[in-house]
Amino acid sequence: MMEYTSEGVAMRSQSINNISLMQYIFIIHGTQVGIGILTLPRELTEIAGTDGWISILIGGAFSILVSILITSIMKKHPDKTLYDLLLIYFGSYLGTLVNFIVVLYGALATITVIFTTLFVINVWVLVETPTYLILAGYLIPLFIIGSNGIKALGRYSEITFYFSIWMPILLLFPLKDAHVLNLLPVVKEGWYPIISAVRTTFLSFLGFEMAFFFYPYLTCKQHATKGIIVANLLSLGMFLVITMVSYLFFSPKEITQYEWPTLTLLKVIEFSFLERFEIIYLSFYMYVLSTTWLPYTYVTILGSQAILKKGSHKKHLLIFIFLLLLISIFFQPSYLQIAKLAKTWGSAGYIMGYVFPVLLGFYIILHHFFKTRKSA
Amino acid sequence: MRQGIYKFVIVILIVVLTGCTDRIEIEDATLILSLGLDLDEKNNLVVYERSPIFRRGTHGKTDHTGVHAATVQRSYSNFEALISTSIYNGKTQLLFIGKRLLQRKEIFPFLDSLNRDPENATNLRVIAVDGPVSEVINMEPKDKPRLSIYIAQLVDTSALRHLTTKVTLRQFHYMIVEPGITPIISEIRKDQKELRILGNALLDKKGYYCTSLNLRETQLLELLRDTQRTPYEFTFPVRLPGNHSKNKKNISISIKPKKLKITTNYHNGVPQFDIDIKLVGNITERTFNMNLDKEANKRIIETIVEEEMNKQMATLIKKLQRYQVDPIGLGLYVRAYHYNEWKAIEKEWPKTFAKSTIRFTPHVEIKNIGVLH
Repeated sequence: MMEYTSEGVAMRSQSINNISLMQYIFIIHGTQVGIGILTLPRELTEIAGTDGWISILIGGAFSILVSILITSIMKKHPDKTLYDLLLIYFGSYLGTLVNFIVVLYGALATITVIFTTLFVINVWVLVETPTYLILAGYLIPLFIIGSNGIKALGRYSEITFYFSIWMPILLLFPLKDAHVLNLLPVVKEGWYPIISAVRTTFLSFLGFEMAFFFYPYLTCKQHATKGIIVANLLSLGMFLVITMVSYLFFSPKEITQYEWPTLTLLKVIEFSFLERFEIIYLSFYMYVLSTTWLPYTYVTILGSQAILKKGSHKKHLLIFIFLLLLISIFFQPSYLQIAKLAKTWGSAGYIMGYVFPVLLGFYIILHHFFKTRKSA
Repeated sequence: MRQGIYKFVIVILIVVLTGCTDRIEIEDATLILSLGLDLDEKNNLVVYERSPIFRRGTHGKTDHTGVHAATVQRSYSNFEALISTSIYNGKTQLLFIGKRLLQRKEIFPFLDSLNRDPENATNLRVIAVDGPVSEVINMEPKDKPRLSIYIAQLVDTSALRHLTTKVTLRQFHYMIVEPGITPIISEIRKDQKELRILGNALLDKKGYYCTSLNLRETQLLELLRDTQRTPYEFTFPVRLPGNHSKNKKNISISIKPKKLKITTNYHNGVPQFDIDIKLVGNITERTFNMNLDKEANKRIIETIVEEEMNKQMATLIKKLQRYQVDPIGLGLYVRAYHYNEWKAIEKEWPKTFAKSTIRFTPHVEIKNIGVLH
């Protein structure tokens, strides 16, 4: 354990593993905006009708609260990741066990996002191309980014954000067919469906838990809280725009019939020289999706490094990516399995992102309480 | 050495991972530009397609066939048994539906494959054909550009003049699924040699044909639907008091809607709609003498136009209520402003629409009379 920690500190002190505040914001924002927004409008409408946008606001408030909590936990040990924290607080055996669960969570998130991406690409763009070929093409550039450390990841997330600013703007195009009346009346069925739909937004807001792992690498830690709030607000704005446009464009009965309402929105965009614009959009969206799973992959390999206490992160990444490719050859999920994966990740993320930080926070407060009493 | 291995791997991958497994050369593709659905005499589905041929020596030629098939998806296979190239349905511009089919069968299940397969274009125009679809599909007009493109443009420009409604497959899906509106599609007919826009066909909630609107009725309906604010051209007959000349008097006016306001009330369990519309008009034609410099005379003309519009609109609304179709989408207003009542009538909105009271009040203001007095 000592070995790992000293090596970890040494690794963190290198400049290639320092990230700026902007990079921190965009890593978290990038992780939040992912596969969730493809289905979010439908899932919200199924529960809350066209009042789902209120659920997003409430869900956003929750995620900001939890983010602040996570940041304040991390502030106690500014140069340790969650993996180090767990070992400190739970001891070597229990800590390693919990670390292992976190690694599994990171792997599950990576697998869910990657396989959903591949599934959507297979349905909309490359119908005949086998999944593993797409994956192989997808993984090579991302391995190069991943193997160059956390700074490269931060730069990649930031540049992907700038390059994808046009994407939500383009979604405003279908508004020429908008039916404003769809939104009225506000709070049509009372508050109960709106509150129950908040849980659906939790999956979309997942990504703030990256603070557990990337906070130690942040250079200006005094702005960490501000940064994570900005990241959450950016994602909140993105989700609101997409849900609102879907509500205005589709009939509330119609929206639940589309598997990916956000992509169906794009089918409306048509130029005289170009049809099926969603192909270009989706291909570009693969960048945005990669900023979702790449941080999760990082979580996985940081964890496996912490548990095994050996090997460079490059080696771990290579093995992990190889395993992913292997899985994709033998496992080609059906639409039901994709939905099940997303649901499993949703439940896991609910525990990891919302329940776990609160419990950990309580535990740390108690721990400090007893420790100070003992020393007194 | 290591660099060399990397480069080798990258080159190999670039060669292998080209992603061209399912590419199609344009010479080998049949791009279906128009698709037609109709019933034969024995009420079996017939699917027609029309596609341009891109091969040497076949300049400007088109391919048009019709096959019997149980469903649209099945028809693609049947086409492929006839055509030497492979079918590609992502570029379809037009979907013709025969009136016979609309009258006898529920149309929505037939369109499922078009909505489900993401390769299909969803911006294709849905058009009802008064008469057999085969006549339109098999037309070979010599003096016109490619038929599919020509009809698409015909529908688009007529829609700009409000003579028909351009309804894409996606909008058609919306109209069928949304409970507060009934579907409406353009209607065309093949006369001796020419194709003609007839106006709109009105369908009920299940997609069965109800009735048709002619060009003038379509204009009035579009005024209520308020989807695009291009000017409307109306010609109204004029009856002036104290004038018994035998010549018919008409006034043509180009109208631009300024503001449409629909208010909803519930009265004794019956919805009431007050449609208030502000219009700005330019006189484009006047076949009688009148000094329009006077404020009073301008007011007279405005009143004449208002009354005539009111009369024609009342007839149209009566017609819609008789057939129990609501292409205006007034149900959306009931949902938005009377949600509790709406939940009770949601499933049978067209019936409630037929019973509701609808008041139409136009306010016309003449801004411009042209360069003649």
